[in-house]
Amino acid sequence: MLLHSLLPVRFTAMAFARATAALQGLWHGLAGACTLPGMDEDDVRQRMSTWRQAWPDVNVEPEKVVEFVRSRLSDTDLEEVHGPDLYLACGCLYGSPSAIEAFDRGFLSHVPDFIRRIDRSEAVAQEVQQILRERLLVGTASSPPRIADYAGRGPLMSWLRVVAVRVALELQRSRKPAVPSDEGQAEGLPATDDPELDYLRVRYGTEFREAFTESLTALDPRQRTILQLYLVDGLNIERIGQVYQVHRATVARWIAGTRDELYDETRRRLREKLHLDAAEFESIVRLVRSQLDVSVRRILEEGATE
Amino acid sequence: MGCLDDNEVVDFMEGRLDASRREAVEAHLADCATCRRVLARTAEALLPTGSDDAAQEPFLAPLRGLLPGDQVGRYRVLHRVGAGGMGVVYAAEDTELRRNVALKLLRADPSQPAGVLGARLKREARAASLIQHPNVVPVHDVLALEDGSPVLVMDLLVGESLRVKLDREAPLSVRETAEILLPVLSGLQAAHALGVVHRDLKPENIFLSVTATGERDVKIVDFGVAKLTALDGPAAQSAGMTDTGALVGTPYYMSPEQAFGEKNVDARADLWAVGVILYECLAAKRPTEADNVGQVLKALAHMSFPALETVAPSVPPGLAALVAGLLKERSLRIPTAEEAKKRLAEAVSSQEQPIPPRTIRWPRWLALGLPLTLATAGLLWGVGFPSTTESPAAPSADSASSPTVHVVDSTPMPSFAPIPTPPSASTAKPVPPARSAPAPRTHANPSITPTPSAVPPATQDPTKLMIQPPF
Repeated sequence: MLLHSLLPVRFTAMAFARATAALQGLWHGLAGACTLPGMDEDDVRQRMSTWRQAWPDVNVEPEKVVEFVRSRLSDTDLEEVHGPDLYLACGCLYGSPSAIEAFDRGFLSHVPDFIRRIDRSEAVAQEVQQILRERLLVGTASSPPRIADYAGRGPLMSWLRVVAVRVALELQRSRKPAVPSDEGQAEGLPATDDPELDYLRVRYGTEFREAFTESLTALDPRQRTILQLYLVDGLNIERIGQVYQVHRATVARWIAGTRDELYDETRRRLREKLHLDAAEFESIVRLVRSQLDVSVRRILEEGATE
Repeated sequence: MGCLDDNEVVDFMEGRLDASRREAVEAHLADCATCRRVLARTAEALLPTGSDDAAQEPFLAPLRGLLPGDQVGRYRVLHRVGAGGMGVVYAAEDTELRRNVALKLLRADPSQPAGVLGARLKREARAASLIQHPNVVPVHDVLALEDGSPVLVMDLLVGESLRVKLDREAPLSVRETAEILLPVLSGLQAAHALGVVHRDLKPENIFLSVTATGERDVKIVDFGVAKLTALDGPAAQSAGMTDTGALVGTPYYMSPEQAFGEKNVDARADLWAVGVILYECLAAKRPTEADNVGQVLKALAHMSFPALETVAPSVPPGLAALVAGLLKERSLRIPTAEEAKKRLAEAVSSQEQPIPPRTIRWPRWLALGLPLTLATAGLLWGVGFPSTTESPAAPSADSASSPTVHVVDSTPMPSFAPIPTPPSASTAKPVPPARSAPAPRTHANPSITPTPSAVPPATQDPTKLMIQPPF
């Protein structure tokens, strides 16, 4: 009886406690939702309104945008985030049709340009666009739409460019038949027309390969990366210059210097490894030099696919 | 670290990473083909399909440049000394005269067929070799590599360029400015008397050398070189911008008539350059200092730049008037080096005791420390020095050869007295080598390894292949 008489009270108390907690949570949530570090609510709303001006048709609740931005502010200053892009990305994440439409029209439409160097065909471009639509805007049961990964530190377009390239490369890899191994690859040095040099190539290929690989490892990471970007990935110096924010002529000098260093070091190591007479040694060194770029490309490519 | 996420790739490409993070990313990229590929393909998406690198950047052609041991005519390459916008300089041994020389490998002008270039080379070299003056570095020989790249053979100098000095010390005192520019004007006077115009006079081409006996001297280098490259006429505007980049190639020293492509450029173009150099020495800035080539050209077109006395009020009025007289439209400009020299000497003497034109005293520290410090710094004339911001890689490119540079540059050099051009083995007295060549190579199989004696003398036909495989 007592129990029965107490039940409503208990329920009432629990309900009250729950309601209070919910209300408190709501209060804190709202208060927190509309503020950002160093800004009061008015400032935040003002900022949202400015961001929104970039997408007048896109309407996203400010609280959602604030939460979206706040979660990305751990290592970024609010002044440095790309606010309008974050606003749009947030709209896409919450399924706003106008945001998705704006993203599709203003961003995804550029994807064919981004992947043209990987595959020129229209069909592949459309396929990549479709995959991006699904991954970025729809998501799966286990993961939210991947547009949530956009950190807002750089422009949304730059981020999309990387994502698109990644998808295009995945697609290319999944379709590319396995490349049969090249017979000459094991020696590290490409074949020549000269029978004498060819003999040296086969005879000392292993030593060359070791010397070369060691020399390559001895380069500093930036030298190695740039050499590989240039020789293996086929990136031209203009673009390498863009990545490293230097003039193309500087990149050219870097590459030329790295090649010199690689050649000198390979030559030095070969001299240590091979106990040849001077003439034979110079012949193999001549071969190394004449085929340096081809060898670099071959060995690095092989390393890249391992 | 693990693979880069998409945001990190963007941060790396847009330069938003701090130094330690960037280092970690670079270390990862060096070993991760997947991330590198994403980076490469993304970078390609940044720009429309570009043109061919090899055409734009001759240094990147296969077998670019020269390597130690290469035989270029009768010269055997010892090591690379430095590289800049105009080309790459190597120390080399003259195997006939047994002395060290400098080989300057210039960029080939891609618009010129090799044969045409060869003929031009000969003509220009002949003109430049006529100048026999203590303040002009003679070009002993001009060769051409297989691809048409011109190679100039000159004295190997020790010291530093005026550019390096200005970057370190500008503004210079009136006296020191005169000590440098009076000899320059003497050299120009001699060249102009022979009808040879430098066309590319700038602080990089004025070398403050230290001779074997410790004497200091001022030398103009690269006479006539501008004509051998694209750095002349209308092409110079674009060449200045695209080939050398940054401020090195910006046409700060180019006269208006050169900048705007007039064909009959004469000695007065060099005097304009002297005006700019004087201005820079005294004011620590150039009259047409600007952020880009377009603004420089605009200032040239309108002759709109501040007068020297407004930026350097302490300069004697006579000197300011001289600079103003040099930085004028061609027909109004001081017409001869002789007159400019006279007015410079007068302007300085009005302020203090006259200066004997070629008795120069450099600071004691420079005299004592220069050979050592500059040798290790990869000095040499006529090349732009790679800036410190350019790279960790650029210095390392030279580092392999730096010990050799040290030896060469700190060794007493042969006299700077002009040597008859072309030198002949039968008439020239062999000079003992200042430095021994790399370990002698023996060639058991002549079919693979031609001996130096099999190499034709450089002067026989410069248009032919002059580079021989070294082994």
